[in-house]
Amino acid sequence: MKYKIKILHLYPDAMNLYGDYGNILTLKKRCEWRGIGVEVEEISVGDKAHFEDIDLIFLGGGQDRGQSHIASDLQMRAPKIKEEIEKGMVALTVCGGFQLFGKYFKTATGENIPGIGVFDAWTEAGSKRLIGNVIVDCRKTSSDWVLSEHFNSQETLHTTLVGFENHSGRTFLGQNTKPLGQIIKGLGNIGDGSFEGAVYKNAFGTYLHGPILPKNPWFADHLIISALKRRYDTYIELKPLDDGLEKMAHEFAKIRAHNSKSASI
Amino acid sequence: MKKFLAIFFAKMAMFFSRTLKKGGGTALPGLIAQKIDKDILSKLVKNLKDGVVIITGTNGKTTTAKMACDILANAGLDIVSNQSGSNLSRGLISALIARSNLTGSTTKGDLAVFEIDEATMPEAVPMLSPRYIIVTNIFRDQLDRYGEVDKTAELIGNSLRTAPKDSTVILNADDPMVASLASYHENTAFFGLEDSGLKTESKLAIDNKDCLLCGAELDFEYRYFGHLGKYKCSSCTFKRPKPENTVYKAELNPENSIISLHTSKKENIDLTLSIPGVYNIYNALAATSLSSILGANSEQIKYGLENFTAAWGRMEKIQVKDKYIFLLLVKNPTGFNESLRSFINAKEKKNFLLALNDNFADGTDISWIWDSELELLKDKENSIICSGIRAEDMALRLKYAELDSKNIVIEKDLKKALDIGLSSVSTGETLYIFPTYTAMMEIRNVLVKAGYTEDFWQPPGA
Repeated sequence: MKYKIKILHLYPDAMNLYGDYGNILTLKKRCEWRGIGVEVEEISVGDKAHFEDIDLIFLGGGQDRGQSHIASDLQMRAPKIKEEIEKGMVALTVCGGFQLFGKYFKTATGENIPGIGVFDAWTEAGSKRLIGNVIVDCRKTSSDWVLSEHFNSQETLHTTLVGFENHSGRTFLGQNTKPLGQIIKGLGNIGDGSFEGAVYKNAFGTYLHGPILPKNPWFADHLIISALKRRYDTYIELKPLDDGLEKMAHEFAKIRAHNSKSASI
Repeated sequence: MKKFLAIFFAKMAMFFSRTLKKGGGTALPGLIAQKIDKDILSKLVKNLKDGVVIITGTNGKTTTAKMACDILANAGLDIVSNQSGSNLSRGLISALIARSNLTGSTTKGDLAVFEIDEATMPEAVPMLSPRYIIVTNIFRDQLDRYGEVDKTAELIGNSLRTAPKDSTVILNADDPMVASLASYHENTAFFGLEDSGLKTESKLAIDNKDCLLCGAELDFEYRYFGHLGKYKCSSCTFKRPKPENTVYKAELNPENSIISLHTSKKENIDLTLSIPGVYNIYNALAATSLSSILGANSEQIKYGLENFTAAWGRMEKIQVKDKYIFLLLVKNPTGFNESLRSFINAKEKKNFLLALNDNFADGTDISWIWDSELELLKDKENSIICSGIRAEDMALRLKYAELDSKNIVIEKDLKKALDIGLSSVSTGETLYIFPTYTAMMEIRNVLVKAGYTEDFWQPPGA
């Protein structure tokens, strides 16, 4: 049987900052290289979407302007998105997308942009941008993930995320949402070097660009496995790929993070 | 007294860095002078009789500045510029001090042409009181340094408010972000492309789709690249302004472009622009718009653009024994895409070296390579060497562009990468090198040491 997944890229026209295309490309190729079919659909403000038939949604980062432009459109889709996330739909949200999946974003001018509250999290504008290379340890958090048995026994590549953060928002997590991982190097959600990102069921929020998926293939595969589980309601083992180059880039990103300074400007 | 000391010590530094051949050296004398007298810059530019031109924007500053200087030199003007590539304010000061007497009471030259980084505009404009400001374009570039694209536009816009009332702001009509800057200044002139035959369908690296005035979406009739094209706002009255300076016909070739220019003086000029790519047509247009206001005639413009050679490293062909190297600086997705596009339309497969560094001057966030259309290289490559600090990241990008891994080599050391690259091209053929800024400097140094190209350091303003 040939498997397939359906990916929905939300607002690629407004939220396309920092190489987000690379995340979609990585999901697509890693499916195709294994003979898994992929459909990628894109929607803009006002377009129709059928979330019940979508396995994975992606929302990238945007500038403030892009964000307020889509916020009200996203709001109208919120009940449907939240319903499907309860049913196992996978979501990856990056930077501005992550913020909009929280409860609200309070801008520097005091304006409140409402989020859709997938995450028990809220964001406040900070005075300085947090910028730099990041290493995140997901060992503690990933132990709860569906399908965690697939990863835990394995090497550290399967528990570490590398990327680059560049955000002025400070995102605080409430009781019902866990962080994506602990910061080993970098500044993280609130700039204190403690935690990065957010997880609720199969919904992930992160400040990591890079983009996040190419250099963290285990995480890309985790999303693909979860998307397949959503569609077929069973664990489908992925054929191993030659990730030599991914590992090299991952390992070097770690070295670079250790050798470079983060900045708050 | 402060002024004298500032100039004296800066001149000493200039002398030593030149004598010791420390290379670069365009920023240090300026740094010293500025430490001693923080107003040194505004004092020195007052000596110039035709005042100051500022060129800013994401892409094309250096090329536009050099084109304008070439044309205006033909027109007989004596020009000071910071075209050695050091485009922070210290470079400017160095350039002026090299041409001033010790007391700073006179500075040789009619006109100063300065390229200014977008982020430096708020301090540079009040300091320089420019008579002309050119804004080339606003693209995503080194975001970790400047914040986001919208902020860049706002930064430039606010700096335009501080420019003298009688100054002229020359804007790219095809870039909606740049064109909307007209609301910040009374006296504007526009340039733009009017040959719809050059339009593209590529959707990557479109940095701006919304009206900066009202936030509604822009409707594009067509685009040339990125967000440059013919547009109007879907909601308010904002639309592409009608430019006085246009290129109304263009034929693109791999090594040059044949263009027809129309200037604000209503002259039509047919010429062969000596360097390829649509983005260089924009640079030529910006330079022409300025030169024509300053009195250059059509002969002088034509001669300047037909005999133009690009600034070092930005686009440069260098002979290495019986082979060639073509260096093309890359800074951001749009520039990278357009450079790739100009060189892959030929039939034969080529050899490439992609050198990706992530130092401060390159931009420390390398995510932008995923917004670049490396897919364009598919089936156009004999070999690709990935080099520089983030060589693995570049190789990974190529893997996901589905390029043949057999043709891809990773060699992080730039000197070794250059050797491998040159050994892969046959006699008489060219190695195409796409480096980020600091990688370009490094490659340039290797070539200088090996004696293949002259030292790029030249006395500022020479």
